[in-house]
Amino acid sequence: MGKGISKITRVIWSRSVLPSPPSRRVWRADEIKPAESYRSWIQTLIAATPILMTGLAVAVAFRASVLNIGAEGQYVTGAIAAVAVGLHPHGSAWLAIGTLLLAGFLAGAMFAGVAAILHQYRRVPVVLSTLLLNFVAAVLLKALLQGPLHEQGGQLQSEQLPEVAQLVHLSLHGRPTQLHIGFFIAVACAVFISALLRFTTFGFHLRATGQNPVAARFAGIRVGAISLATLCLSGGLAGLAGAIQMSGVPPYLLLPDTASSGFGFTGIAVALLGRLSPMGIVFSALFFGWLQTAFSALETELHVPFLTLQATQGSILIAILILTNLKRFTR
Amino acid sequence: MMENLASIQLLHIKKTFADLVALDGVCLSLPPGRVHGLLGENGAGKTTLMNILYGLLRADSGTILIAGQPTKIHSPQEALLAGIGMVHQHFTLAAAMTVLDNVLLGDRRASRWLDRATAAARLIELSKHLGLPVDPAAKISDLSVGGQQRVEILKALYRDVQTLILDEPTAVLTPAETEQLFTAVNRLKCEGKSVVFISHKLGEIKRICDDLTVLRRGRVVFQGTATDVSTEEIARQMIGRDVVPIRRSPFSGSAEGTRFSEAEKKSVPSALPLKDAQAILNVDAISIPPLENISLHIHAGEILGIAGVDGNGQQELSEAILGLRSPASGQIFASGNDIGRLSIADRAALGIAHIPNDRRREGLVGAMSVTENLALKHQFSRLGLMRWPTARRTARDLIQKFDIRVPSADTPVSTLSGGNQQKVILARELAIVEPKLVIAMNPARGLDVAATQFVYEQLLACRARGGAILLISSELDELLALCDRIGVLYNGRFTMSGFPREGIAELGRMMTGASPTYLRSPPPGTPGGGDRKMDFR
Ligand SMILES: Nc1ncnc2c1ncn2[C@@H]1O[C@H](COP(=O)(O)OP(=O)(O)OP(=O)(O)O)[C@@H](O)[C@H]1O
Ligand SMILES: [Mg+2]
Repeated sequence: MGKGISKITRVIWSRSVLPSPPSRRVWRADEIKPAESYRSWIQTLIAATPILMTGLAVAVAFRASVLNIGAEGQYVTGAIAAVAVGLHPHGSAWLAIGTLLLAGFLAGAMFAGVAAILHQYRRVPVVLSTLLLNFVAAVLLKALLQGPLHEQGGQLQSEQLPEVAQLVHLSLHGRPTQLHIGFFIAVACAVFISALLRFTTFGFHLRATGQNPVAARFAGIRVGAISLATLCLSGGLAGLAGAIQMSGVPPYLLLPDTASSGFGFTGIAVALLGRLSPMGIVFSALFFGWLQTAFSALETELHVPFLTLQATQGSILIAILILTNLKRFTR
Repeated sequence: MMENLASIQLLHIKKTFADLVALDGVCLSLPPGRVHGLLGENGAGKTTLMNILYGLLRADSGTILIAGQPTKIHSPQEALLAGIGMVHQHFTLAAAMTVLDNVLLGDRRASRWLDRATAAARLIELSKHLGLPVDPAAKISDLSVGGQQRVEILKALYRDVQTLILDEPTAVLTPAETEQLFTAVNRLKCEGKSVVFISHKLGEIKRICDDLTVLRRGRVVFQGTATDVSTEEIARQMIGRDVVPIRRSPFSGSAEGTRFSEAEKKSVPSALPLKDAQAILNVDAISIPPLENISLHIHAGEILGIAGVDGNGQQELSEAILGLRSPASGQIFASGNDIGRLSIADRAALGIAHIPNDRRREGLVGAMSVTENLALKHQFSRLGLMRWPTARRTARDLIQKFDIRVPSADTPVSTLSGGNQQKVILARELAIVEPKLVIAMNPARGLDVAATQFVYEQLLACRARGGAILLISSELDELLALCDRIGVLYNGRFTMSGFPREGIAELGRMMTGASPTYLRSPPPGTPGGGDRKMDFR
């Protein structure tokens, strides 16, 4: 048992962000290449990118007390739109990527907009509609893969995005890496959302609405409009996550699996761990990204089922939420 | 001597919040069979002291003796077991549940299976005994504020407490309900229970209390028997200076005060034919349940009072004027322009200010800072961005000007004392822009003597600048002191409209709908004599 645990730790150590401890260097030293350590860093950043975006999406909505738990579905619609647009690029690479990302954002926003409108005009609770729309998105993806987006070859997948529509990758020591600029777009989004909440009237009204909708209404804030706009913004960010993932990460195409990425739900955990603050979310996304990298190493090396990752993520989240809320009781 | 047998003693209680010393070595003894009045200006530490006794807060140092034994109270549960019950300044009932459920909620002695029938019988017996009528099956949200207050008291007494803390219980009660409460308190006293009574109404304190403690900035500045001091003396102890009565200049009768400017008129889409163009506010036959066909108007430089027990349509009237509800019929004009279709924000931009009835629900965002709450009404927004540096500077000025006791402009308002929260609202509504029309509902509720006077001065200053004020209040003294005309609202109708000369007894009777409708013209030379067109049906 103890031996098993130490072996697991060693794998995590060697394959993820931290260099292996000196005393253990002998262990499979032949396999540890110089590139290994920064490669695992890069893996962490790549894994953090989509959940940073969905985390922001969830947090923006939660700050306005709009319980959007449909980032998963909005991610899928964003991915679909991005691929649909990206398959027929016009003009330069910048233009192609720009339109592709915009399409992802708009598709996510519109998909969330359905829930917003259902709430505004039919009083359907947002929790319910966004949750159910996740299933709609999954079915939509399946239908499109069997129909209009079906690949020529016959596999149940879409065509691959052409190279102009793929995100630029970073080079390190003159060699291209797997790290795409999507990560920096996501961090820029975090900065943008942070500034939006802090410095703009919209962000201020959004926070007021979230904390006391009655007082906000009495103060003349158009609470309904704010909630609607917030839900669309939230959906847009989740949709953008889908677009970035499609054009940044191989195989650059839609798969049936795209609907079960789990990024939307992990986003909820990331947002809560980041205490709904954009900068907090950057760190919590990196943490979850690191966990994911570490566990995929465990899976390949030791055949630990990947499901244990989710169990670990859940336990960590619960533990941290308990610890941070303890403050309330200790006064 | 009773004092020696004191059932509860607080010794040298000290409490600080960050760098604010809320309580600085306070001693208090609560002997059985006596009512202890706790007074002090807003933010003096009254609620904090009682929260410590009730186990909601922990003192930094000091001892609590119960029957001579040092006792540590860590939670309200432990307080209740030790025989201490508390009715909070702001209610803590579950609105969707029944009275009985609320009373039983959190009662640790209840067995796993609730015996509702027995519990209800016991509650009814208790309520009869104290003369505080309640219906165990009624839903809390259907009760008046006074009814909710009774439930809070019975909830505490249901657990057989020996000491009952009442934090500003009469702030929301009608005169009749206050009498009811006093009868109950006297009965508890006869049974040998001790009661702590917190209030800003000195008259009440003198009537009901045996002992007094006056706090100022966390220190005891007076302690003694109630009969030994006059109300003036108490007030002086509280605020550290004499209280000068407010003076009100007579109504000028002219309507040449502040008028809505031409530019503002243009922003109003439909300028209908003027109806009493002189009036700043003209409400024409509006109906929203329970209001029926209500008309009124207010001129520049005039204060119109609406007397009445809460829940007779006051909330609906103010919400209709502010644009939070649209009336089923009738029209509302501001300076002659129909504002019926304008949004809440547009009406506010015309210079309509609002001091809401329920400050924590309708007026403030508790988790936000003082600065943010002052900026809530669009004044610091330009081109979609918030001008926080300007807002913070204004906030600092207003904290000075309104004497808001707060560590800094960035403190969340939820940590402010009740009275200081009210001052934040007043600062926002009356000082950031000069309002032309103020809808004020019980603006001095929960304020200390000095702050109350400050509010009255502010309202009168607004009147002197030519503002029109609709003062909706359940305090007759307040209405008589401030208003040029007073209407009484009962069951959605005006049962009377007239002039303060009519006196307090008359108004009090009207508020309960006692007498037929009539209008008396004022004797010549009475304030407000220039105008007597207030409708009632
Ligand atoms: N949780 C808290 N955090 C920080 N400061 C607090 C907190 N609770 C109270 N205070 C501060 O302690 C002081 C005393 O507040 P307290 O509520 O006891 O006043 P009070 O005498 O009840 O006043 P009021 O008559 O207005 O209700 C105030 O200045 C208030 O801002
Ligand atoms: Mg208080």
